[in-house]
Amino acid sequence: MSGTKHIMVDESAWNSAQQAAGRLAQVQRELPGMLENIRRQNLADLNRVQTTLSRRQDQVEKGLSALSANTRQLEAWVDVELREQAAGLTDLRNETRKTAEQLRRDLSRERSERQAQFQKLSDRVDDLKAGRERASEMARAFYQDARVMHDVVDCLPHERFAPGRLDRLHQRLADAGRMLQEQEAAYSLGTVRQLYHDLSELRADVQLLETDWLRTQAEALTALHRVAETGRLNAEVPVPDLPGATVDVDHWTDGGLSELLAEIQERTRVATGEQSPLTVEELRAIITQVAPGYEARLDSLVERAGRRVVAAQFRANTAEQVIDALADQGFAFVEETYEEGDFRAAHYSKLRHHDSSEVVVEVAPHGDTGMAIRVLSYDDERSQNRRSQRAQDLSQVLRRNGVPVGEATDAGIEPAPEQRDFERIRARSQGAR
Amino acid sequence: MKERSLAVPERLRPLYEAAGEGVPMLLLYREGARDAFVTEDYHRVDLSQALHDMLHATGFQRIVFFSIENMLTVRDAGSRLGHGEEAQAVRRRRHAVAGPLGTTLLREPPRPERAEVRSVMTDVSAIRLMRSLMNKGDARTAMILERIEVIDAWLDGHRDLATALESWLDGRMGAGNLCLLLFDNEELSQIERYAQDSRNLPGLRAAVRAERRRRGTPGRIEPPQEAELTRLVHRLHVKQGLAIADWAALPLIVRQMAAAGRTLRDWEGRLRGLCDRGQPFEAETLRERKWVDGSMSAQGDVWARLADLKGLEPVRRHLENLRWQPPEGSEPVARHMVFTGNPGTGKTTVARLVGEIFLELGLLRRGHLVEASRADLVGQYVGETAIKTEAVIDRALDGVLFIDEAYTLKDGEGAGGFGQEAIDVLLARMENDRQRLVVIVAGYGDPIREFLASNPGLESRFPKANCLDFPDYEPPMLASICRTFLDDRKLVRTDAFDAALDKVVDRLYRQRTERFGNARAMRELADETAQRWALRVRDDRRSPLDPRDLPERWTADPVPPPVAELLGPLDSLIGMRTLKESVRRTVLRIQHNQRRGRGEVPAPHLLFVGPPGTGKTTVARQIGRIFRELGLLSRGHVIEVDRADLVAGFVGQTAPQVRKRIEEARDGVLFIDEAYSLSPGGEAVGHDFGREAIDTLTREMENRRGQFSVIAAGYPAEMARFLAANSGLASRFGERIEFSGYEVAELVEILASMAAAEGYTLSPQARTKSSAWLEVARHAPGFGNARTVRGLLEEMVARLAARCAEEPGADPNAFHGEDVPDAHR
Repeated sequence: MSGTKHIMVDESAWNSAQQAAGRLAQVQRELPGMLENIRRQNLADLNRVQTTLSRRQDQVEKGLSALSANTRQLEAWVDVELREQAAGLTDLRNETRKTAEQLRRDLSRERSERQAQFQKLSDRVDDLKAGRERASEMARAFYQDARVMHDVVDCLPHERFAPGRLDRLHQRLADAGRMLQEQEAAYSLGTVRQLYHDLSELRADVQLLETDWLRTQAEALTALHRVAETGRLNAEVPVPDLPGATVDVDHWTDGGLSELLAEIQERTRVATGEQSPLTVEELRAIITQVAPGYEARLDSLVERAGRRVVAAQFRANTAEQVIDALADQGFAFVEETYEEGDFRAAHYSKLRHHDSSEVVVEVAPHGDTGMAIRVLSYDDERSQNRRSQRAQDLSQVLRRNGVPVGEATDAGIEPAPEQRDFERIRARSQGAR
Repeated sequence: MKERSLAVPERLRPLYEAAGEGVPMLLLYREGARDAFVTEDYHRVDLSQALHDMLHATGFQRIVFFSIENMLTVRDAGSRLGHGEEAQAVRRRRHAVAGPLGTTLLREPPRPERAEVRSVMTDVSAIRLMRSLMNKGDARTAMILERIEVIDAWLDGHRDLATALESWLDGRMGAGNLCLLLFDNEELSQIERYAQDSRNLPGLRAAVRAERRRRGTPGRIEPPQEAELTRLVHRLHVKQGLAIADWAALPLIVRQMAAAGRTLRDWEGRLRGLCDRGQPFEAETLRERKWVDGSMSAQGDVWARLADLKGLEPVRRHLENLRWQPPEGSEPVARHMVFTGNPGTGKTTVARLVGEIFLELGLLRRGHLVEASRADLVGQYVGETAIKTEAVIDRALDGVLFIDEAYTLKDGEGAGGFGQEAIDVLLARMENDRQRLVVIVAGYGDPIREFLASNPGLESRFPKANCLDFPDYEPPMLASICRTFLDDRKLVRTDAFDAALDKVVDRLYRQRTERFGNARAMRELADETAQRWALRVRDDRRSPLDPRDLPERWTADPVPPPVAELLGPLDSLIGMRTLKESVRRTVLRIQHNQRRGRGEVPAPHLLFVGPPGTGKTTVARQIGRIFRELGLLSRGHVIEVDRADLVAGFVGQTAPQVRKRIEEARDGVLFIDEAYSLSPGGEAVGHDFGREAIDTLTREMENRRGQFSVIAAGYPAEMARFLAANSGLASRFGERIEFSGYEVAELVEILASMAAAEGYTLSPQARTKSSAWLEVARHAPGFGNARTVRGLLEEMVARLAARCAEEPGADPNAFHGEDVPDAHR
């Protein structure tokens, strides 16, 4: 039997003891001011999106003012719908907003109706040869409108939302221009009309996709802001059942909170701005997966911090009990310190017996919530029997005092002299800070 | 220090003083060692607290209690089991370790099932700490080991403590430290017996001896005394509303409470019971419940009872004088006493009274009486005696130890008993505990005196002034005692019976032996009388006592024989006319007195004055017979003694020898021939024990008057010297009877009768010739009267024998003239 004894704390008993101690620390999501912050942030995002969309719409409508009477009616209807869409963004109540899908379906139905009207007109032209001139005129008008629409679309971020489509239509527009020059315009009417419609559709698509993206971006940012804000506001959480006591989450997660917040910040930076490279799917993933993931991480960080604080407090209490128990056995308290001056680390206490022998008790963390007690005896007692008896005694005393310890095991080595040098332990801690 | 010692209860004062003297080991025992205390500032403290305060006041810095139940405990921060200054700094019970949440306790340590039990030291730690505390001398430490008997049993498995304890018992510990052992046992002697059997603590015996040597045995914690009990009553009055019926009676009640010798806890419980039942605190209640000694309180003031002592005047005077004690010096005074006297003379009663007197005077704390006999003190095997004797003495501490027939302690010749051991122990304790113990040895006078004389130590322990002699009760007292016994049986006495009883008692008294039972004899008489009454009256239980109920042997009145018959044998003696006349006068006077019936007539002592050979011995025998027939002496035999029989060669032997002779002469006559040889200037040279013999004789003649008759004989001149040897002596002798020398004719008659007694006859010539011879011889110095006649007869026989040898035909039974020697000057 050496002078060093390990006394492991029985973990299952320990855990149940901890649970008995009270509820664990939890992330506070109902903090006053927090919702308001997030709502304001969200509103600002959406306002920005709305402004962008309005500006875009003004620009488009201005470009479309050069359209012929034939097409203007149709585009005017689309514009109304798009404006409505943008305007609805700021309405936070999701259910009142028309979804992009719904809008796309409406546009598609409208477009088929127009298509049918043009088809009737075209059929009439074929029937009445006399109207060939008029058909040629219409073909040239559609061509002209197609060019206007091409220019309008060209001003839109089509490459981002409908990459390659304008290029193909541009080719068809050049071909149509050539055909109008080379042959009777009236024969090109169907082709030109189709071209215009495709351009018109592209314009609506691009504008709709942009709206959707902007809206999704705003939502994603809101989600990120929410989790970031929650994280910031939960940097210190109250200890359940202990009024006034708080846990420094970042400290007790060894910087885990800072790490999380930095990650969120980076993700936010990437997602921010019109030039954000994220696709709508990626933005949507932020909303549905990334931000909830961050929330979950935050939850576990807070919980861990709380658990560790409670465990550390338990260690302190245990150290106190051990000191008390040893005092009952005739030891007098001499000094104590935490390793590296940190509550997260092991606690050391030194006691001296009346017969001048000393005992150093180390209460160290074992994992987040476990605990290991080590007793270092510095005495002249050479009787193995007596030493063993003392260790047995000590575990019994601790058990009786409610510390769920197992039997003492012999570490097999004599304790090192420096382990009783508390100045050294303290100096180390000061150096580290 | 003085003010602090106020907190030390009186009962712990001796201990306080012993502890203050730096004694390393003290024992605590008796009921008090489990008691509670009420201090002078009216605090009620238990023993532990009281000990703590006491030791603290003595200057102990660390006071530690050890028991199997609680291991080591302390009662104040100063005694915290740390060391040096650090211990002073750590005042709090717990050292709080700060965690991230400060010193918050997330969970209370589990509470033990019984609230008062706190976590205690383990055996190993406790022993380790004890050894360390006691062996160091850094701070004065007092270690109190509670219930040492239990600890002792536990020591079997704890060799460490056993050896440590043993070394402390041996005084090997840090300087100034003290080990206090608390015993469950009541008495030191029990502890001693216990120590003898203890395997683990052989050193205990030495500790017991040391305690015994200490003055006042400080470890003996007594039941509370008056002052403390008074405080208890006051306390209960204030705190519990104990109703006190009569404040004026309080001191008396409290004194009785103290004498009852109960613990404070006992009284506390009882008095609280009174409070609960709403009963007042008064003497009547306490007596009814037998909480105080009924007899003592019922009979009232001890001095009044002393004054009532009848027939013991000298004893009563002596005890009354005890009231006036001189101021005490630094040396305590021994108050041991010797009571001599016959059984039934009230020695035990007086001993009890002595205890109460000393209690009253505050010289003894309890004043109770412990009676002991040899069987109580002396054991059967080696070592037992000391323990038994110590135990009895322990019980008697603060009271009176009454050893009846103390001389039985002395071992008989070659008996090899342990009596001497008991005496030795007794002697030691009588000296050491003389402040707290009064030993009274009692018994018959002589054996007690011999007993005391046999051991110089013993004699010196009993102050001469404290030797009290209890005379036998006088007949009136005896009769009154007997009446009390009869009355106690509710028997009705008539005047006739009373008169008869007086007579019987008178006779009993007169004929009493040396071991007369006095009151005891009266009880026997009463018992026998009652029995006879019962047999006589059978169913008629209301019938009064009758003189017939008295035992016959005492009532049968001897019919005095006529004087002629009484004096017949004396009258038949030759000559001595004056003598015969004076004997007749004496007899007549005695008979006259007897007839008057005014008390018993004792056998008188007589002086026989006259020359030798005038028949004094013969007359003495006749006197014996006459006295017997007169009913004055039951035997009437004669014991003849001279100086050699009475006077011994060594100091102290003479008086017993005289008494022995008197005892032999009981109911008869002690005839002291040549009594003058006892007086100084007689035969003795150097140490003269003759005077002692005379003094003893004088005393006994008075004390045992009626039991025997002394007849002192001698020449007239020398007898005058004898009587002068003791002023009281002459008055003791009732009659002086003169013996004159015989006339020649009377002498011849004597010769003839002597010869006739042997079957010889005297011829007329022989008569004539012998008359002439005697005439001449009568005037010669050293004439021995009848003795000379006897000499003459012898001479005549020798001559007759010679003549018969020469003349074979001569009558061998007839003296002739030639057989008588010639008269010559």
